[in-house]
Amino acid sequence: MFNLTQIEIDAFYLTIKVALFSIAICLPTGVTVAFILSRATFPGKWLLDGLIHLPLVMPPVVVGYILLILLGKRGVVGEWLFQTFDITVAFSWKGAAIASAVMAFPLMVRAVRLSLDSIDRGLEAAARTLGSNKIKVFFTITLPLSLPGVIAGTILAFARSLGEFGATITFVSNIPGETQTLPLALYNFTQIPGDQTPAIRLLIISLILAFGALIASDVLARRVNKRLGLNAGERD
Amino acid sequence: MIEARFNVNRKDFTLQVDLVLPGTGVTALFGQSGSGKTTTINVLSGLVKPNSGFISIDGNILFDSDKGINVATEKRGFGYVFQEGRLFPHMTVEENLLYGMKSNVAPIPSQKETVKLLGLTKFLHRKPVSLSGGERQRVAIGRALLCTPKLLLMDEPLAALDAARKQELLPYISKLKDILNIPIIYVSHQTQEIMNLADTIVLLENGRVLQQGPVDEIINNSKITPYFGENLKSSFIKCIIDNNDHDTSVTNLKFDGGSITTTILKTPVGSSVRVRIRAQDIAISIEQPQDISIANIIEVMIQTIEPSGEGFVDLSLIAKNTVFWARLTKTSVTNLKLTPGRVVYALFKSTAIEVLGH
Repeated sequence: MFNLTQIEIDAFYLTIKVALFSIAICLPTGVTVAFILSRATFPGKWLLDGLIHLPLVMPPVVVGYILLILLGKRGVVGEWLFQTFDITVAFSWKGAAIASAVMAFPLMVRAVRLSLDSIDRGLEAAARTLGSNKIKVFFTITLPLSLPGVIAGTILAFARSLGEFGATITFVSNIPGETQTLPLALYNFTQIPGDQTPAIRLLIISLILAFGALIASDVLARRVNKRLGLNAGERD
Repeated sequence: MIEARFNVNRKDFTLQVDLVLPGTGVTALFGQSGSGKTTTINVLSGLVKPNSGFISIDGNILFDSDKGINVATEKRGFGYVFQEGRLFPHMTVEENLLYGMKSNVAPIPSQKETVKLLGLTKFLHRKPVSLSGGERQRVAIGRALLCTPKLLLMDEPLAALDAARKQELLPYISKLKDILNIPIIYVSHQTQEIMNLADTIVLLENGRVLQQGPVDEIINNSKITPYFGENLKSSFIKCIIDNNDHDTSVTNLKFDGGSITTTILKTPVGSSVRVRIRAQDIAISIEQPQDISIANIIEVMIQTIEPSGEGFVDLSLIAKNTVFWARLTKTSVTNLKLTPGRVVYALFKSTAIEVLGH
């Protein structure tokens, strides 16, 4: 029962890899966009806000298809990427990471923005009166104080990437060892009549991964809250 | 010297300020809430950009709308103590204190002295959340001082505290005044704080400067007295401690026009203090009374008699260069036939004297 086949092992590692790369894309861009949405006012802000949230409300298959049109080998951006940098993302794990990142992006932005909105802007003003320019204020005050949101966003994005199915299968297909992540492999096994043990094994692995992410998020959140002085249990 | 002329125009509020403030001592920005006090210091600090105007300190231009100059807040080098402290919650007290310290300038007073002066030694490793309101404000003051400011702005630093905490923090702020060589701009609507601390008063009303000048000149001005409350109409008198008599437990104070006696003070002989005597605590006698328990009997001349509220009048009384205010009933004035120019005696008990600090 617990002897994993090569296909399953590949799917496991690939899922982790895709999720990590997805976060690597989401985190810096998500924090930047969240900061812009939270702090700046400019014409067309509602449009940016809407665009970012599109993947949340559109069917994932549609998102995958848009990615295929844009980033496919003959796509507008894909062709340019291939000719200039010799990079192909379609039908590779990189594409899977991009699909996951796009799907997870709004979750990341929302969580971080919520956290940024709740920061007392007066603290940033105080830091400026103490000689910090805007960049230093961001890294010493704004970012540390929004850490709970950044962590929540990261865990959400990680979990979303673990479960990404529709956009991935549409954009990069279901290639074992290359783009076949856990949900895709699980789907595959359920389509084969007969022995269900491989599917059950993947189900258990998925459960463990998701649960692990939740626990990790909880532990991190506690630590950060303590560091931020949000609980008063620290008197000495 | 600080020069500030600027306009802030908002939908529901216009602030029009024209100020020249001295380069030393405490300037109190005084006025009711909504008069523009906080906006004024926010403009000075650079946190609020005025629509037009000119601001300079000691000849350095910080803002000039004509020339397009607007020095960023972080480059102005002003310390700012906010009403709510605004300590950084993710840092310890010590990290908060060190946040604005420059690596190439040693603050005066030094880090050690500041910590000691503000009584912060035992809190250094605690987080702001575990401090009381008064302790937080002390940290906020220390943090502002350690960035070696050219000017210290204080926005009602005592307003968020209860009466006991206020009394606890006020002496620290008084001490600062003596130690620091930089000007302090102090926003408040509390008479007691202003009487204790201010050298110069700026009175703001509805976004305009109504009065500005040295505290002793301005304090009995008819424009400013309503702000201290009609029932609080008082004489503010500058005195020098003449002697502290420990045997009889009284202190004699000299003022420009005579001397007064109060219950014994701890303030050393020779220091100058400001005292306040409420108009309702002063009585008038036509002849110099004999055999009376009242300690202070001062010969004065009636200058003006003006009505104040139902059945009362306020008399301004001159003793050489000092003005006393007395509140009497209209009946008393008629019965005693008091008229301007008449010489009478102002009477008040030593307990009616409130010493406000120096």
